[in-house]
Amino acid sequence: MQTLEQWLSVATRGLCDAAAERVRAEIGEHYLSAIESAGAVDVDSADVERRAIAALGDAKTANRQYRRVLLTEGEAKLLRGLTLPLWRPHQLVGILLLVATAIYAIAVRTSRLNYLFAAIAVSTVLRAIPISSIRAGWVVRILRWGNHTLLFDVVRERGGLGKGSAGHDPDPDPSDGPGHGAHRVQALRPSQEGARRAVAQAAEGLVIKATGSPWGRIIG
Amino acid sequence: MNLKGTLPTLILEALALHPDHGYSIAQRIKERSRGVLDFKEGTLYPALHKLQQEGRVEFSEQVENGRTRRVYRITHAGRKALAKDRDEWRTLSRAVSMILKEA
Repeated sequence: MQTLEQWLSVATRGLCDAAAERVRAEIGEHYLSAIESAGAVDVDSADVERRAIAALGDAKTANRQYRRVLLTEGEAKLLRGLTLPLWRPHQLVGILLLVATAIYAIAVRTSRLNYLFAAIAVSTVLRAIPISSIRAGWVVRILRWGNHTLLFDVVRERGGLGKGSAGHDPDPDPSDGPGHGAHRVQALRPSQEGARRAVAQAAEGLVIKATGSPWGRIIG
Repeated sequence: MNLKGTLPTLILEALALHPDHGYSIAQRIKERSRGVLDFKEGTLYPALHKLQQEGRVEFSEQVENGRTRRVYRITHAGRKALAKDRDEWRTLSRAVSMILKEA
């Protein structure tokens, strides 16, 4: 004979913790009501419990239907990784500053370091957008992936920062002297190693931030 | 008999009389159909969640005998949806009846 706990473990499979808790509470209450109602006319408690479980029907069918209307573990994980818990005034100020930096970096285009700042700013803005639906969550996640791809591409392409359009001279003029063209690229190499390390640390910080947000909620 | 897709309408119809909790809603649907319409009670709550998300029902929590129960009530949007469902059902029912009489 299937017990209520067995029925619930199947019915709540794949649901996020809060949704599973809600299902347990409502089905538990329903089950107790059924037991009370049948107990008034039937003294065989085992039979009453068996019939109460049977009346609930197939747990897998209930699970399929619950997954359509309640938040699943995967969806909760998606939302946790995308949003900050709340909007606060200092967050808004920070976001505005980062947006301003991003606009400046895009407009000026003088340094690859600016591209890095722009990418970090965009990433922060995307993380701060409140997500109210799974569809919006996926859109923001795709934008974030794109932004991270661009960020790493900037780093990988040139192997260093601080070497933007000014650092990359496609047509070096021999009259420029030792501080220009290929000579200058060679002269910048020691600083590139430091920049690489800085980018790696910044990227590591982003990953930690993305996975460490202790936040979850139920839709609906 | 289990008429697929009709459970939300039956829930709204049950709640149109008065607010109620889940177990009682299920029993009232079965009683009012004199046992003809049967459904698995585990599917009642996903349907209630969906109706809630659509704004057709709302709930409040009440403590009875030391147990917390959710009492559901129909909203204005739920009543409008129920009226529409009733009209559609009557139209469908008339059409099917006419065809069955011809046979």
